[in-house]
Amino acid sequence: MISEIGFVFLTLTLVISSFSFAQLIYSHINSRLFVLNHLKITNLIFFFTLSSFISLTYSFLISDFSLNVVAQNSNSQLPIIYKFTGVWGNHEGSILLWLLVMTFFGFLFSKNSSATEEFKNNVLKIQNSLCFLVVSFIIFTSNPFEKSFPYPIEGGDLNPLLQDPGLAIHPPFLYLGYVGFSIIYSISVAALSDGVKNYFIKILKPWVFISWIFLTCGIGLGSWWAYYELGWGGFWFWDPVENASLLPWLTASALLHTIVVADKKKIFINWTIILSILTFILSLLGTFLVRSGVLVSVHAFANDPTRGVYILLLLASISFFGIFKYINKNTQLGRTDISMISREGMISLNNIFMLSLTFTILVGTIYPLFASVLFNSKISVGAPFFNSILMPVMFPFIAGMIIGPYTKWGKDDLIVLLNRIKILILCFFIISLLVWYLNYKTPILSIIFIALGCWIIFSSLFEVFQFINKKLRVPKKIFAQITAHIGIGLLIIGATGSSILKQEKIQFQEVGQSLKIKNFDVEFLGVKKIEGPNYISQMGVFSIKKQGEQIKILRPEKRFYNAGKQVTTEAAIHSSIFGDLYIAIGDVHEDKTKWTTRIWFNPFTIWIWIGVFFLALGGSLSFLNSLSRK
Amino acid sequence: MKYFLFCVFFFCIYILYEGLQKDPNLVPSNLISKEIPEFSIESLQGKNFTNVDLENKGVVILNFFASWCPPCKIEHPQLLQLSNIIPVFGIAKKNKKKDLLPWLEELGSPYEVIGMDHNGLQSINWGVYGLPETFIIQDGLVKYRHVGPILERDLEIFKNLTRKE
Repeated sequence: MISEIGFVFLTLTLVISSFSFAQLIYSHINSRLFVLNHLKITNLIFFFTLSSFISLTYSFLISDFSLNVVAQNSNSQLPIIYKFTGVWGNHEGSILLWLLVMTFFGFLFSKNSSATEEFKNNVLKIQNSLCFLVVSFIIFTSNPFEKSFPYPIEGGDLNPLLQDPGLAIHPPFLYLGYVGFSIIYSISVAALSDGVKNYFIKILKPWVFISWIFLTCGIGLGSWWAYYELGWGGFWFWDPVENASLLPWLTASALLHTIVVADKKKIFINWTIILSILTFILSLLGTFLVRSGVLVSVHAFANDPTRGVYILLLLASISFFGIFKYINKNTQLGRTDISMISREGMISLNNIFMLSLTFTILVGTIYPLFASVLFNSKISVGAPFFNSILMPVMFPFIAGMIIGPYTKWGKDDLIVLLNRIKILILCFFIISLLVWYLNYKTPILSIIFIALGCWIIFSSLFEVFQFINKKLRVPKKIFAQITAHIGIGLLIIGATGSSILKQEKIQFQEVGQSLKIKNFDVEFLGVKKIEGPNYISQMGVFSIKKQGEQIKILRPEKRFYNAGKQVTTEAAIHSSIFGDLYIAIGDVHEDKTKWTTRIWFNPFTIWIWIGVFFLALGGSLSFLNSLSRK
Repeated sequence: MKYFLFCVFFFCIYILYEGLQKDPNLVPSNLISKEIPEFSIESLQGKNFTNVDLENKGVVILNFFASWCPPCKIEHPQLLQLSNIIPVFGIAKKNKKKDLLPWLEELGSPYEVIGMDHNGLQSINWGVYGLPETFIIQDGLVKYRHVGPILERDLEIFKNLTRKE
């Protein structure tokens, strides 16, 4: 019964949002024929979608197996929390969540007071039309309220990998980011038809920050989840699905820098609009790549070609509309001459690097697809490609990041600039020597990158120091920038440590045998059988000793889930600020006394998560700042 | 410039559309429509098993497997079913006789002859990089290659490919 109501609400959303869509199309033919109040439509579709989502959640909680999606992705033994998160642990439910977030952003925007009624109406017309496209996708190709009769008495299982608190929050955050870009797209496109008045920058700004923060957290959480849950011993694998989330993040980061300048100096309006549209297009492209199954990925989603065609149609029409609007804009957006050595120059350099990085990663990600269509050949592009292209771009990028904050607005002189930071450069030299002295045995590349990471952190702290030295309070804006830049520095150190400096041992380990890795002695004590709520587990017990003294017992598991007959690896990790000792247990050897064990030492991994935290914190500070200055 | 941009745009959309029609999991083999590689190895029964045994029998199936490979157990019922229609030959990769015999006894053997690929050399010659892999051979020419276990849904493909001739 409840599920029928959910479907009715979904249909209502379709019907009502179609008005906005119809007007958007029709206004191009005959502009002032009828005027709708899109604010009301936005409010209505938000409440209808919310009600629909609540009905689906309710069906999951009471295990209503007459719904196909519940029967396939949930069962009655599942702990209540996973019944709840199971709502978005499948294709249909996750797209409904996507729609919910999209309408929610529209709803929030309609309550945003800074825009004029007319501009709001224009933005929401576009936003509601986007919702229309998504809701028609849901109803026609992935209806979560689809039923079958007779229905099963017991359901399947939620993918065991998804039975983790990490999943509970990772996709919603990612969606808040991805979908947040829809409102940025709507505002920019609406601004284009509005003659690009400068005030749209102020309206756009908080939305850029908030979406960026969510996407940053979403990617960070996903990476964290992969590291702790999957037992692969890494945090980033250059998988197409991961790249799909990185691409909009890069353009959004460029947008973040651009919009600050656009707000202050009234330049870079072109950049702002292009980046806004591009970011949303890349989010959609990511969705297409992930959900259509055109690329081989470790992230499995249920794939269906008709869905792929529909998402492609969505992607094509939305990007076409954006590009069309941009090319046919009425106003000429004037270009100001920008000196290379100036704050503006540094920011546009940053944009150029970010975009080239985005483009290269994009090419690497979809090249296998192009190759298979055009040349009928099978190619896989993996980590070595991405790592090798990332490196050369990193150097000028980091240099810009360090010098940028010390340049003056307008015009600056290189000699004067270098003179201003001569103490800093001297400190860099000392830091580099120190890093080299502490790590002289390790590969040269790791020394360079760790030194560069330290440079970024130090130059940011030096900025603070300069303010304190002049007995000035650090402005909020600068403080946010410093926090985020320190985050990047920490991220570089963490990533370098856990990729280049990683130590790995895979072996058959006998019970009682002790292995040495880094300065730890890892003794294998045996394997226990444990029974969980819906799984059986083989738990390895390892004693970790440092200089003969036991510091911790680690218990990695291999879990066998009853319902879906699936196996997952639960790694056990001993974290410290210097690195993680990471143990995963595999299968038993034929002679029953040896087990496959995989032991890693990943230096500085914890700094990756701290770095992401700093990034999000910096973003949040900027967000609060942009709100209070309105 | 405008039109160029739109051309690029539609070209990209076209490629993505074409890409949808292709299955990224399909792995081609250099051996397709070529003669099977020559080989001569010991069979499980201790006799000689060579490429000639596969050449003069019309359509046959050659299956690379091992008793230590769990997915091979998954495809076993399907192989048993196929062996009622066409001859199935096997090559066991890096498998000891003492492990293989009880495995076959437990599950039943679909194979007419099993070759023992002790050092894994034959698998390399055939371009096999994971177990199980299956080839359909017609008159000494490789017709089709299947990577991974033959599941129930794959049976139709196999039946169609082997029936026509």
